[in-house]
Amino acid sequence: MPKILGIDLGTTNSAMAVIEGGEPKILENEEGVRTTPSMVAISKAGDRVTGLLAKRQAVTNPENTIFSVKRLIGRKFTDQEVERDKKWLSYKIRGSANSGVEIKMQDKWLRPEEISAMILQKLKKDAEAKLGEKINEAVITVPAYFDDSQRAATKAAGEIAGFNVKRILPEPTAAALAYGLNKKNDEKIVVYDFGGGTFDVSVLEISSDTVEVRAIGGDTHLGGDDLDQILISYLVGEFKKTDGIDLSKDALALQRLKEAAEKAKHELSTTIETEINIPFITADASGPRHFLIKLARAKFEDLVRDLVSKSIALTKNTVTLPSPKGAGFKLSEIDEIILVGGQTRMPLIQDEVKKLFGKEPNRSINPDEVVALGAAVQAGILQGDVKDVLLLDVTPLSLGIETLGGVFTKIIEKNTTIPVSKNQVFSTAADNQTSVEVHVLQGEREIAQYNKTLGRFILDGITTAPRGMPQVEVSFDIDANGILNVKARDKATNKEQSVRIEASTGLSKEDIEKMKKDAEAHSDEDHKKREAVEIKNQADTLVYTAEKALRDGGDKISTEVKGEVEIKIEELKKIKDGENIEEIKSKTEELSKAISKIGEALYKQNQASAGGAAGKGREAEYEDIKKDEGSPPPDQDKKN
Amino acid sequence: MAEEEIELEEEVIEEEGLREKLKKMRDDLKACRKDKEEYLAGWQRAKADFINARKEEERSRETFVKFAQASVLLEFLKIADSLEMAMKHGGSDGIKQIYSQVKDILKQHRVIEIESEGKKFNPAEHEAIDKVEINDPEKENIIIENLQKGWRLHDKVLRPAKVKVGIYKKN
Repeated sequence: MPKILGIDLGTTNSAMAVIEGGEPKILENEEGVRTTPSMVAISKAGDRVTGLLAKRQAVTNPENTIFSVKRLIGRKFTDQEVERDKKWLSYKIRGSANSGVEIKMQDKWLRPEEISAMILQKLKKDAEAKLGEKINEAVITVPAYFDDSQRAATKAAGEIAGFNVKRILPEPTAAALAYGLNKKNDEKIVVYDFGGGTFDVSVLEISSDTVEVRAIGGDTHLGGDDLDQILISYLVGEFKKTDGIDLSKDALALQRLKEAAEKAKHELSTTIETEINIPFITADASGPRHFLIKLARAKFEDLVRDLVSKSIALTKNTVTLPSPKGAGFKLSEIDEIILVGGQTRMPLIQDEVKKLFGKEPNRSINPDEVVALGAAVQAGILQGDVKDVLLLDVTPLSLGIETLGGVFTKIIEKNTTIPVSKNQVFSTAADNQTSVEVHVLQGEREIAQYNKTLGRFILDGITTAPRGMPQVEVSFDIDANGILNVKARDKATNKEQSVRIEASTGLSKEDIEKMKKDAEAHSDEDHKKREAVEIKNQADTLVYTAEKALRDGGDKISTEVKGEVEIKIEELKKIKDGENIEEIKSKTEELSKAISKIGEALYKQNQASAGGAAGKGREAEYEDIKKDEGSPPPDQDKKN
Repeated sequence: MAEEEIELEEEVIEEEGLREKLKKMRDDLKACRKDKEEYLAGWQRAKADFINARKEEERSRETFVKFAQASVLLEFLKIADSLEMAMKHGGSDGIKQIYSQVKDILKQHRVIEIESEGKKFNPAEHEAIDKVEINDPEKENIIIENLQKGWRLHDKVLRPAKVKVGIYKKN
């Protein structure tokens, strides 16, 4: 079952996406970029170049660099639109035998669909390289206003590129799919799409799983590029005022200015003022000149306000005017608004749209990518993705066991996709302990008693050994139905015990939310408690280790050092079960320092017998205890 | 005779019942097989998705490590550009020294200059921002002037060189 590629074939830029693990994902092109300029050229050397490379050579080769072919595809040569575009296109076009359009590319006359096919071919090749598999099927998006002939020509372009085109999808419908709005019922949606070169507004109505385009409007020559142009003209004008030099005559200066203007535009989406700083932008007889200007968001908004207002007026008309000019809806009837196109990142546009409809527009998905993602969602529906057969659930809350000191140790974190199995090795807390109790819990609190008990069992028959030596492997396994199996196994004897818990996901939504909120509310307090338990455990282990080190070292330890360690042990013992955590911490540290004074030779000997604990640095030791120490809760501890 | 017939009839009835049973079992089996195939295909796809995602993750991590500094270096190039311009306008000793410092940093980070002037224009490394008519056919599509240096990081173009390209025009 090969993948179907979702393609947003744009006027200026294209993007592609596939479904992966049930979710749509943008694919980068060969150059590692998420969007590809919709440009094709036959270079001077006779090679065909597409995308970014075609764009880079456009200046040297304008008559053989084809862009904006989407404006021509499926149109008649006599169309008003074509008449209008013919004047500014840098390449030659003519009417074809069947009254369509033909484009001159070097010595050949090609149909627009053949040019679009070259862009689609590049996307196909790049997607195949990225995914490592052949892709033969595609969903391609088109503007909602495309008529049958334009749609058919786009489909033909896909076929020339080697795709079996499964669906030609309107762009606003794709955007709605990306936001999952197709699952809603009886909703009215407006898609406001301010692209690089075109502005489209569409009114959609969703009823029982079908998405219907009720009205379309817009301006095919209004886009983000116009805003850039206004800003550049303003900057050129300002420089002329201050320095008397016309930068538009200097190719490099203009290029640097363009880049700086674009960057400034982006920055003004998040800051209220930016600085455009281009040192040595040009020079005259008096020496080098620098460009430095502060640009406020308000100033930029003033410059482009007319264009934004125009788009808002078009939107209003498309929604409110009676059919066929508009959808004939009241603005207040619109349930959702979706923003598409990079320019909609501009706060002014977001505010104006919000003001018009009186509600917050959807803009959580990258507006440059939302159409391609929606095309992939449609592709996923067509290929009947895994998701439909295999609805994978997640664990709503963490699962784990109680460890020494009443601490909750998580084994499976919340929001883990199931089925899943995880295991962790624990050990005993006392010498010669022969059994451990496994107390299975669910919840987010760090202290075991505040979580929900799912079950408990005892694993006995553990071979007698010093504390910390036996290895008990506890494994959690949740199957696809949410049934939890917890097993504890003594690695030395292979003896095991297990419990099966059916209701591990049987909590109501309210319960889960309550438990999560509870954990959040008590997070600080729980954390302190847990830390206290850990410090006490650490003190306990260190006392044990120190005593063992003294025993094992015997005469080899100088009486001076021995005395010091013994004193420190006594001091720590006195307080370690108390509540003064800071004191326990400092006494533990003192004891730790005292132990480290035991000579290096001895240290090496002891390392083997004392289980390594005495030799490691404080931090490592801390980790050790946390991981290895402690299955039995305190009561179990005393019993053994 | 009569008894035999009755027995036969019973056999037929039994056989018919069995046949029905068999048919039902066959249908069940067919449905099971179909389900099995569907589940297996879904499982295989999910597993493949997972393996591919992991490979992709590994690859992107490698690239990330290699090119993590790319965006910072790209910004840093602006300083190099400005210093270069300052040098062209007769920069002081101080400027010269700062410029050589900047070049050192770039070199340390494996940022290497793309050769341009006099080379054949190649959009993979160069961005044409201007053209100039020339009457020497040899200079067609050759870079006449490098307006802004291009840089490569490892094997990737960090920033293409901005160039002026020769276009042959007969006099």
